[in-house]
Amino acid sequence: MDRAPARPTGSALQVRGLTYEAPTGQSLQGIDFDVAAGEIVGLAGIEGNGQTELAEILAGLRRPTSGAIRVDGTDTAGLDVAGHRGAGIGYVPEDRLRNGAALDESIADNLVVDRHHRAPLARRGLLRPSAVRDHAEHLIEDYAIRTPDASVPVRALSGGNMQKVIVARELSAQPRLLIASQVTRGVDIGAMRFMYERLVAARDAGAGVLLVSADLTELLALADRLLVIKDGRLVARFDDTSGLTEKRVGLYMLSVERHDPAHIAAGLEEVSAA
Amino acid sequence: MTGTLIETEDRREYKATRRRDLAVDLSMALATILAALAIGFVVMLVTGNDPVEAYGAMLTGPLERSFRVGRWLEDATTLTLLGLSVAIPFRARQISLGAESQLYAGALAAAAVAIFLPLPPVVAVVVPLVASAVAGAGMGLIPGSMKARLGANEIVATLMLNAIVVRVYDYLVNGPLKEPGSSAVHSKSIQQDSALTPLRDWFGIPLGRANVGLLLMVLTAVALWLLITRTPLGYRIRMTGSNPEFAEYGGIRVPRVIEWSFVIGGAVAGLAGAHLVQGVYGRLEPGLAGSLAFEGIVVALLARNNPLVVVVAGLFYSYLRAGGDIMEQQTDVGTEIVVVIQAVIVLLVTAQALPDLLKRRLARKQVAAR
Repeated sequence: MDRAPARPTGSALQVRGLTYEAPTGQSLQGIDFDVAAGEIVGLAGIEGNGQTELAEILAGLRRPTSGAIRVDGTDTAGLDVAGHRGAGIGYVPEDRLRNGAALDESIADNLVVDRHHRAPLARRGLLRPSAVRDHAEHLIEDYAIRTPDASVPVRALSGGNMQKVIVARELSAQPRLLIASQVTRGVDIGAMRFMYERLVAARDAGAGVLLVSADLTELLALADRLLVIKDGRLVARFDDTSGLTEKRVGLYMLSVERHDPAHIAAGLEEVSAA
Repeated sequence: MTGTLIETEDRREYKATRRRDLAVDLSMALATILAALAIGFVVMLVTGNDPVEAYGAMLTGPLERSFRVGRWLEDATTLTLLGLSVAIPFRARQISLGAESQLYAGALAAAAVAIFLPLPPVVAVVVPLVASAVAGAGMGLIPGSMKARLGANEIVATLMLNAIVVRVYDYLVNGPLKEPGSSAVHSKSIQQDSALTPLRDWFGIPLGRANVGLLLMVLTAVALWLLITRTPLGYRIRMTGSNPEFAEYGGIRVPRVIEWSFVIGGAVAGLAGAHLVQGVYGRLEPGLAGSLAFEGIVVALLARNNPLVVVVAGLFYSYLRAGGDIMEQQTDVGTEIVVVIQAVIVLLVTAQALPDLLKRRLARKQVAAR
């Protein structure tokens, strides 16, 4: 993957002292990190070490136990999912079949879930089918979604195509922070390449991207910086991914090695909890 | 896999596929009805009756005299409103069985206004209708909130509420609201001005108790169709029903949507109660709704919860009911056979995999032919 070096500008995401007591699954402890606008931060780790929980907390689908989260300067504590989206978060969920799409509904309807109540899709309290359709046709074209019509139910699409629908929706909202979880899982090679290009393009347009993946090759190819999570804690932080090997990152993923907590939190500015 | 198949189609092919799927759906519906009639035919033969005579009475009976047409339309109005009332929560994937309590609450509210509150003409019709919708909506909000906010099971909540409201209704009709000095159990009659105008007044032919409620029912169906397809709330109801986790992920407040679906459904069931009070009986009677509340669920299922199709299904189902009554009067065959026919239709319709199987087979044939 050819890409220019990142030109990080302001901060897209600040996470400080994030703790989460999970009723089931992995709890999180003392997570601190930043994602700058205009960079891709990879989150590596063996699956089930808290990546899902962290992504869902950032997207507003779970509430953290304590800690502070700022998205583009906005404190997201107490906001619901719509509030998180309003603050500028886009989220490509790891399991697109579970919550990424309504499989029996049309592509057009799947593309507007976060914006169906706003102009130009709705006016004076009424949904405008023609606007929903135009919106879908634009995105189908822009994101090369292969389908004969916008009214096709999402269930009829292949994995890569379905993922394009989700990525199209999330990126077209022009998020300040995009959380992309397992974005190329079960996706054909063409669509995979397409996703990579789109993520880099979003970065270059000024979005912060948190790329959560189980695929180290993907992370090393795309991430400008890399974090490693293990047992609900960050155990490594690489501010330069050039020359980093899968084997080396693997040692951190397996807890053979770990970074000093002071190194992981180095240089993060103070953010007070709300 | 059918999936990759659709993707590779061009738009023209896709449109053709859709047309073919529609044709399959329609012919399956027809085949379902014919199959049910055939089974009824066999049952009548086996039980030693004359199926031709019975079917003659059942299928042509409701249209033979104008007052029978009226009976059919009157029944269809209530039944369709009840079907619409459950179709909306069903769209949000909420199994609401509360049409009965909502209907009785609506009937009580409409009757209370129409009997006791003197109002000028026109207003005297509208206010009881509004009252019934509000009462029905309130009766929908209770189980809706319990489901959405407290995690109660909506099936249990609606059924228990039915049990309570029906008893309260019986008590009121037998007690406080019973017409004084009457030996039969019913309330006082509503004021003349509150009655829904009988269709007889418009067409000049006897149409039984059929009334403008029929028009109101059609308008309600259209309004609900617009709600589902043309409003943000309708969109939220569809997405919540299709995949609640997706709706939540997209920023939709799912509990609120669930409540709204119950409230809207309740209002429509309340109108069904008003139709019975202001249009059909002109007063409160015990067991006003009969078994209609539950048959409304069947109608909604037959129509796959599409409000416009609910009207067609309601008319059809009522036609069978009306025909069954006539058959029972004119021949030795009881209405039980109609129940059998209805049940077979419902069984076949709920077997949704059948048409899908057929569509897939057709699609495969088409590919092979290419």
